[in-house]
Amino acid sequence: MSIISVVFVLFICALILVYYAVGRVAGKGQWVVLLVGSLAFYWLQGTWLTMLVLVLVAAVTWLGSLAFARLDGQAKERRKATRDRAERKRIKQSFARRKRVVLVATLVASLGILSYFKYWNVLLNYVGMADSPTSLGILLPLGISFYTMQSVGYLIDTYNQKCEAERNFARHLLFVSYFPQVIQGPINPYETLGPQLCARHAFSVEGTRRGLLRFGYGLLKKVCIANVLGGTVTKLLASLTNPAMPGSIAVYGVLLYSIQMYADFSGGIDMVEGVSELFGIQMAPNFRQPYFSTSLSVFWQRWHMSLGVWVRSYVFYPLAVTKPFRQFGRWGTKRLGRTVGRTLPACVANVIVFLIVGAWHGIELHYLAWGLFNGVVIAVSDLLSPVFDKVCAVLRINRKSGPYLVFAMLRTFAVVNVARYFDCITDLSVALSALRRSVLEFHASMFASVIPSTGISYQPYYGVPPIVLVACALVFVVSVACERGADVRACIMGWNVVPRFALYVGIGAMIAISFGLETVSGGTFLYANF
Amino acid sequence: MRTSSTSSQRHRPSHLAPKKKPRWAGLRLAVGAVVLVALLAAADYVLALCLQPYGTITEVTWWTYRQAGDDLDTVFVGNSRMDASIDPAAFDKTIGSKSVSLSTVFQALEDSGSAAATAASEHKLKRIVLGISPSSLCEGRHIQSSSTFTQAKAAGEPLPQAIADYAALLTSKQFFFVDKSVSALFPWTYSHVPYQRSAIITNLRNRRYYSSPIDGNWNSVVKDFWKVNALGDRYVDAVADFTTVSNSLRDTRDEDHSFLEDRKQAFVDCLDACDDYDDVQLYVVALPLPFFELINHSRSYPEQMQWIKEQTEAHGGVYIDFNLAHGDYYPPVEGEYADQDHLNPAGSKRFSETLAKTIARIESGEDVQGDFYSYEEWDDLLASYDWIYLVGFDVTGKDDGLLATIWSFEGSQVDVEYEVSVLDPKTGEYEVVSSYGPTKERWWPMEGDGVCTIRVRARRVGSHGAAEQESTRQDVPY
Repeated sequence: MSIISVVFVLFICALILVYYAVGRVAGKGQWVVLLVGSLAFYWLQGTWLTMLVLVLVAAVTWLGSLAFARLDGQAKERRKATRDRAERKRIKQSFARRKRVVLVATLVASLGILSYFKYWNVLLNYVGMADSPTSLGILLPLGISFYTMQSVGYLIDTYNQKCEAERNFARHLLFVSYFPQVIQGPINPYETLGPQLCARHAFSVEGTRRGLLRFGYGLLKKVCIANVLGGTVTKLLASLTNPAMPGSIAVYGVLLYSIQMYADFSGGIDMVEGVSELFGIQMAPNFRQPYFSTSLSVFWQRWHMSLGVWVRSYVFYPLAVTKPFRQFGRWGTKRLGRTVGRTLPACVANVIVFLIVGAWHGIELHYLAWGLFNGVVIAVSDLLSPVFDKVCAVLRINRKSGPYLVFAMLRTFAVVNVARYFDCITDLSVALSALRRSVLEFHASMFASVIPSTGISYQPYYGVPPIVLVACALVFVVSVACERGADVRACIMGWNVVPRFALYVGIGAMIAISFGLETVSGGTFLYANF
Repeated sequence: MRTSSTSSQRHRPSHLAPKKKPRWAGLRLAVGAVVLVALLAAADYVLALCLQPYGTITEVTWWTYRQAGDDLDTVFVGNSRMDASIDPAAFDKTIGSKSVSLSTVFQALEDSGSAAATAASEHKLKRIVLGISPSSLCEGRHIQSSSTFTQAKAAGEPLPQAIADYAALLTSKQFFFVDKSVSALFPWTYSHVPYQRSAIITNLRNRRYYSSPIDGNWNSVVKDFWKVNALGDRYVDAVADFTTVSNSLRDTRDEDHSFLEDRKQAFVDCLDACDDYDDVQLYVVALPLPFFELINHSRSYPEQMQWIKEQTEAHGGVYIDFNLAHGDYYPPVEGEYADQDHLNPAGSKRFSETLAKTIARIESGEDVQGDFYSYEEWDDLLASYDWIYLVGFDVTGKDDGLLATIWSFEGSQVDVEYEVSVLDPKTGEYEVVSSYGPTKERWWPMEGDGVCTIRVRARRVGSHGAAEQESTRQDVPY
């Protein structure tokens, strides 16, 4: 069932009616409605096998968290029963060991399931035991990366006693399978989402209006920008396999891909978060005007934020405080000075984290290169940060001034787009060749004569119809307002009815017109493939 | 005495005062939603007036059908290939019938069944003729086409029937779950005039001044290298010269041309729909394909079309495949195609007359199989084509040079050799960079950067004569 389809609209309407009716009449049990709706949604998206995988991952992490709770309880009782300090320490260490064993086992199980579906065929292809990365026909269950990471996050939180283990499997299954998040995230921490899912929610007019506005904004981005640009981007990037294609085509294609990717991913997130708000449930934010970032590390705090929070909480920090890293830090301090010594472990941890993020997208070489590029750039900029500070001080550059901020945003946008070469071009050698041509063989004068040979539609507009530009302008205005801290939805809802309805009708017309211009299928999302 | 709390209550700032819940908030939301929906519907109506083409091929088709009298006895159904292949006047003149074509662009098999059933229930038909080709069952259902088909069909029907037609479409598997279903709220997005001021103004003028979709109204649709104009007389006199566009006519004989399972089921359902009318004879006709299309499908064609034949005959229908016609019965003639998919009027007239004669012979009890090959004789058929039909090629940069990948379409007994040349812009003459040989991949070095024009020629091996076919590509970057 596509999220942009009549059946989805009917599904949501029916689910909302039942959800609030149950809340009003029974006063409880709304979470059961959500669970049934989520499982029905997932069932309609896949097969019995994909449903089984979802339930299996939920079961593994649920049992693991229950085991932690049990072990914690037993440890507490046993420690209470003795006054001997040494004995209490021994008991604590013993149960900590057992918890670690359970943790490792459940992590291996849940990440193993994910790894099988995502990587097994690819690995076999690498070692020559499969004809192609997809020849075994292993279908990737929808959203498996997202719900696995969300479940693993919950597991680790219960291990660290950050939250209590959920004793009811059905409630835990709801947390894992909650339908708005299952397609492409965001990855929600249990402590914020879990209580909301099980709480009672009364119907709110304002909440509904806000949710619908957000959904509409996401639909604008998805349909008017991403779907219309998709065909153009695909053809431009496909043409880059021809080594004679000038770098100007590569740059143009990658820039359009950047726009398409942002519109598709953030548009999809806006839509699912808008749907969730219709049920009174706020999910974790996932985007915060990322193209206004002033450095690559800031970019990764604004793009796919929930993934960033997850890897920081469960990979970066645990890694950075391990003994080898602390020893490495001490070694660095001794040999290279205090500043470098303190920064170096974090830099190495960053590189590892980004390699993992790259591998999360896929273990093909180009994703690993993309992760490595991001990690290395952030690491180098952290190491050189004192140097930059000194240079700016000497040159008396005010890094808070408007021109500098604009320069920093453009610089960051350029760096992000260099990384995109490895993201959007699936053959690493072609990506490197395209990057080289972009710098050394730009040939701007050939652009106009060569672009028709790429086969893009809307030739007079170089593949970008005017409606895309109008939609981009709208998104830009909203983004600037959000960056300044404005609550855009509240603003719009506070307008007089005439301009407000004129806006709604205008955007509705733009979306309808874009349906007739789409070059990619409307309801599929780029990040749903992860 | 006033207490501080009393004074604070009297003078509490407004932003701290408890907010009153707006009265009837839910009702206001509902009314607002209704008003918004009404405004969106009004905007949709205006956009439809401007953008939905007046006088589409489908509208003209159904309008023509509704003008037919009670003596209508033959109906043609199928997609645009069938629409272009049939000249009802020529057919009627040959066999003495009264016929109408209900074929439309990208018509789905479901819609063919629906059109045939409607015609059979409203008229005393003698024949239903369904035109198909491999693409009818290799390609998925085009929801856009089904939507415009349903709109045009429903426009002339009683309301309950129209609702039933829309319901059937909206609840179909290919529609209900997919993203295109939302476009059903804006049907003009399926088929619209170009988003250009001049096209919109012309469309509005057509609506204002013409009383029926057929009144002197041309709808031009330009697709790739062919132009289709609908005026009730179907297609204009375009004559496709495939040799000039051979580079876009790809060799797909190694690609998967399997029939889709849901299309096979739709075909059977279409046969079932026609089977309900005992007095009506169903003819399933495999339409003549240009030679290169036949070659592209050659690996799977005999088996697939044999299945269609068996299904047709199991439902009491008669199957005729004009691609199997003997050379002396229905010879291929140059210049009878408007484009790679459609016959032009000259080709349509000749095909319609031949089809009519064939049907007349069958209805008189004659056995026509002697004028057609069978699927078991498929290899003999391909061997009977004794020429090089087309040559085409692709070019990519490689190792400081260019690599041409060549393909050609020829009879199975014809061996071909190729020559590659590059145009020298200074002299205006072609310089041979790879001489005649059977290899289909040719590389040659190119110095510097720029664009060039490349020509590939093809001739029979051992002929030593002039090329029989050639193709060029301009503005090739190197």
